[in-house]
Amino acid sequence: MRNYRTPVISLLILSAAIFGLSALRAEAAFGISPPFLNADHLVKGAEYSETIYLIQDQPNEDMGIKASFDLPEKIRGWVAVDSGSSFTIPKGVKQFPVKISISVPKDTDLGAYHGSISFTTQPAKAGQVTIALGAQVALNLTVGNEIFEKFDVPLIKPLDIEEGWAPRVLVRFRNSGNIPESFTGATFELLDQYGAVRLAYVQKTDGFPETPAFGEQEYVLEFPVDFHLGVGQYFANVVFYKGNEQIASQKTVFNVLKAGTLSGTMAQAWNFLAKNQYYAFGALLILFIITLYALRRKRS
Amino acid sequence: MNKKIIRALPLLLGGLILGAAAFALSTAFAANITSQVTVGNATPVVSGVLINGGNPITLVASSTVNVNVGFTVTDANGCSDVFTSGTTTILLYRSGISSSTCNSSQNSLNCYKVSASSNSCVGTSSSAVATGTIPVQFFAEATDASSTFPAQNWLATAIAQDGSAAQGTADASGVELNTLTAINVATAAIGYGTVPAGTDTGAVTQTAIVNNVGNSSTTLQVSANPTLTSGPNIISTSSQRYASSTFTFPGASISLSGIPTNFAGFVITAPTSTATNGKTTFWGLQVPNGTPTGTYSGVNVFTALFQ
Repeated sequence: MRNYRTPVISLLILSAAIFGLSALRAEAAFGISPPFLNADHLVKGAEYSETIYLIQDQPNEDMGIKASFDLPEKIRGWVAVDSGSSFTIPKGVKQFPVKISISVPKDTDLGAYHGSISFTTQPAKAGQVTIALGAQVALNLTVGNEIFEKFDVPLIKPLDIEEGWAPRVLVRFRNSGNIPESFTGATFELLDQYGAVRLAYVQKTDGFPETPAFGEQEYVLEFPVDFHLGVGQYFANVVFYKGNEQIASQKTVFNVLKAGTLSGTMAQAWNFLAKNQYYAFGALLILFIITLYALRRKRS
Repeated sequence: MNKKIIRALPLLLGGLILGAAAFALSTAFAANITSQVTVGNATPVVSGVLINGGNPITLVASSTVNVNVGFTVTDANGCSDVFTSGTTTILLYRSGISSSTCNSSQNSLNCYKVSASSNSCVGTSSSAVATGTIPVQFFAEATDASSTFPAQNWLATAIAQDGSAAQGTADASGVELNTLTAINVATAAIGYGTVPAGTDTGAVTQTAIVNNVGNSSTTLQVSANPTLTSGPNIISTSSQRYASSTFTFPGASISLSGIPTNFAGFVITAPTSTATNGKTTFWGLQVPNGTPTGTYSGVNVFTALFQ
């Protein structure tokens, strides 16, 4: 350090780092996953969204975050962050989801656009040159006019049901293309608990929900069989088609449980009465007689 | 007398024969018949293998993230033939690695092997659901669009072996493992000590080590936001300077800006283990003449960029 004769006016600027004084402790990590948003097949009027995660390994305190945008002026209005430009990651959260939405105007030009969104921590100041960490997601958008089809089925799960219910299958359909998509057919093969003996075979050719472009949807499909399915374990072999092409399949076990196990006692009773009209009529008649008797006693 | 006996002989003989037959029949119907059957071993059947609920895997910086793999085992001899008398194995691996390779040798970059940690096997049920939890490291290889393996994904294989060593296996549909760009800095603050107005830090540089704790190579942007401030007084952002090696102020250092600026040439490659993987940044300060006394504080921002 250089020394000068002129009166020295000392400045105390910084002290050594003290752990725990700032919201971001020494060696606490911060990052982003994934660090890019590539929307290569947008079309005019498209609605696209993707969730990225802000990551921290030591979420010991609430963490303030500031988002800043570095985008071409033309697309700045297209981009929205669901958390806003200033938000807090709650204490204890290691993976904080941030949804980035892109709304392409219907009258825009075709083209490719690039920019970024930075997320910066807001540590507590404590008389130091505090170090804050940041992470950036790169945005790469292409607006074209070609149809792009891409989809997959990350989840097919035959659900546990109650005796007497129609078999049900939970499906998650992920559409990465720029037009709506749906299945066109499905088959459901019901087998015994060992997967050896076929008990029923059901085909379905309609009633499939449509998943919008760039969207993901979960829904339950029913495959009614024409006999009462009793309590026990069964195998289901489900196959989904689009046109003549097999898209996805799953063969695994599901359980048929005692009535009321999933729906509860009241629902069980209601379903019983709905399916057994004579019992329902009898119950109403008894109720009527009791009411009449109570009224007559009241009058007397 | 003899004629009577001779005439009675056929009758006696018939009676004897009938008696013998009756005795034989009664003995036959009264006999104990033993029977036996050997129940053969049925090979377990594995189905419904699912990784992370069908969702992409998102890592945690500088740490591990628990990834669950669930599956169903069916055994005609009863599920306990697997879950009590046998074993279960779960492999989680990048699709470019075969399951047999992963089963033989594991590494935290692209192959994990565990046993199921819980199952629902009760009584004589033939089927049960099992789950295994795999702690995946922050440097596990990504397979998403901008990774080194964009055409691959992560798979899981579940293996059920019963008490007679018969095995059933099944694979899950693949899921992506996403890129994680993350850093930490090995100090919470930069301390310049006492710097008189009209002087600078000279040959004394402060250090801030930046570590890569994600699974991608990373570059760095630096900025000040806000600059050094004491009440109404400020020290301009450009008074701070930084470099990738020591310097005597100003040397070859670069002025800090309030606008995030790429740190030229500063790249930290993706880590391949939990060993520290970082680079040092060096910092200096000049305090202009006429700067009032006071305790000045500010914030320097280190932003990780995907490389």
